[in-house]
Amino acid sequence: MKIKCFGSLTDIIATEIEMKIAAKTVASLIEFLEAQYPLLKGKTYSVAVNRQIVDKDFPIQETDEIALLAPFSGG
Amino acid sequence: MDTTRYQRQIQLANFGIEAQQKLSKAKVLVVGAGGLGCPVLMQLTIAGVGCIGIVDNDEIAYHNLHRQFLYDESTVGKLKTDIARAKLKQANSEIDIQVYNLYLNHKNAIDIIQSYDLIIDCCDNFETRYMLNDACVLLNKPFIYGSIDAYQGQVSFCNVALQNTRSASYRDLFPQMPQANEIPNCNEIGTLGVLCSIIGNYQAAEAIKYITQVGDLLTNKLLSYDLLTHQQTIYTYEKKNSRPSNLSTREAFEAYEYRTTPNSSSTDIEDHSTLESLLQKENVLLVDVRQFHESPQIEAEKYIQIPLNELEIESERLENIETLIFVCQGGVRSMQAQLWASEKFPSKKTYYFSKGIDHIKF
Repeated sequence: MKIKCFGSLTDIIATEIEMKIAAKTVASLIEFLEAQYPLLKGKTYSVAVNRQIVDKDFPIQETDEIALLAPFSGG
Repeated sequence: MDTTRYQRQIQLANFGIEAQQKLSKAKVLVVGAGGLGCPVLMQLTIAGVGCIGIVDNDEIAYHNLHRQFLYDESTVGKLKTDIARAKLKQANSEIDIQVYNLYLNHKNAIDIIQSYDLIIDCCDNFETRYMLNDACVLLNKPFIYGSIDAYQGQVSFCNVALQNTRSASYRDLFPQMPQANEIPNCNEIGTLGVLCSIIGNYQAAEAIKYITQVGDLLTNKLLSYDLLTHQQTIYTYEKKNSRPSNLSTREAFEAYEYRTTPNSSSTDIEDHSTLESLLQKENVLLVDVRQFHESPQIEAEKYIQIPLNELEIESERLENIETLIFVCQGGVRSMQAQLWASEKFPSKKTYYFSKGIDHIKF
């Protein structure tokens, strides 16, 4: 599964990672990622699956493109 | 209205004199006259937007000049709104420029916003952004969000009137306001003037398209842009009415507490003498959690560099140390590292130096 990260999340994970993840929903993906990257816990971000921002119960598949989108502050 | 000035945009297909007249009748409020505000203000002024309001209370600083092109060396220390107004008037004297020398807050926002047709968010903090979004939802005003983070930017067009409803708001995109210090700003991670101009120009383009009813808008869409690769992606999102339910009246909005209080605690070292005395102890380590490419590069005793995203896999290197003091550029990443360390090593003493690496004398 390919996961892209934006903003401050690149400091915690990376710009992009690709790994085998057995998660079936966004919620289980988040649980897996928080175990791998404990600094992710409590962070504010939205999750997109195939370029659509979705809720935590949204189903995911190995071929999906995931994006973790942090809000930006700077102006 | 002198149409000669606008001839090259009037002659565009689907634009014409009607679109120009719509621009000349439009009233747009720009919140923030900084990195994003400068390109937004200049583009709207020269495109012929009839009335432009500018909200800001900052004075021009020398470190603004690399990106905030409405200002120059002779204007350092002066109010941004005053200088911006003078510069914009020079560019197009026909435009009515209103200035508000204040910071927008939940007490003054409604009175200022309500006479404008469109609000553009060029601010640099989440309290203002969420408050502005909520005010726009309350008053049914369209709201163009734009923001930057290091080499990346985001743009979205919120709360636009559609048939029988309005498009998604900023809270549908990011429902919860981040904690204080969670997300770094330009002071912490830096920024490039060209990125501010790219994102600000996207915002101005959305404003012009909205006013003239030309093209498709970024409603229910988040445009994400990466300067390093020029990669641009549009993410879609849905309206969910994510605004807190107790914000449905003006009175409730004005009573709502937007400020996120910074996490100040005994783990935050705020002055250099405290840092020095801690570093004189036995078995103490200053842990720099910046990335390796960041400057200044440091070589010192009791110092180690482990980037924030490598702390977990490199945690063995910290295991035998009794006192850990984290540092980064401006205090955001070091605070995250301290929180991580306090959970990972509950028996250790952990601190962070919030002022940042530039304030340490090695």
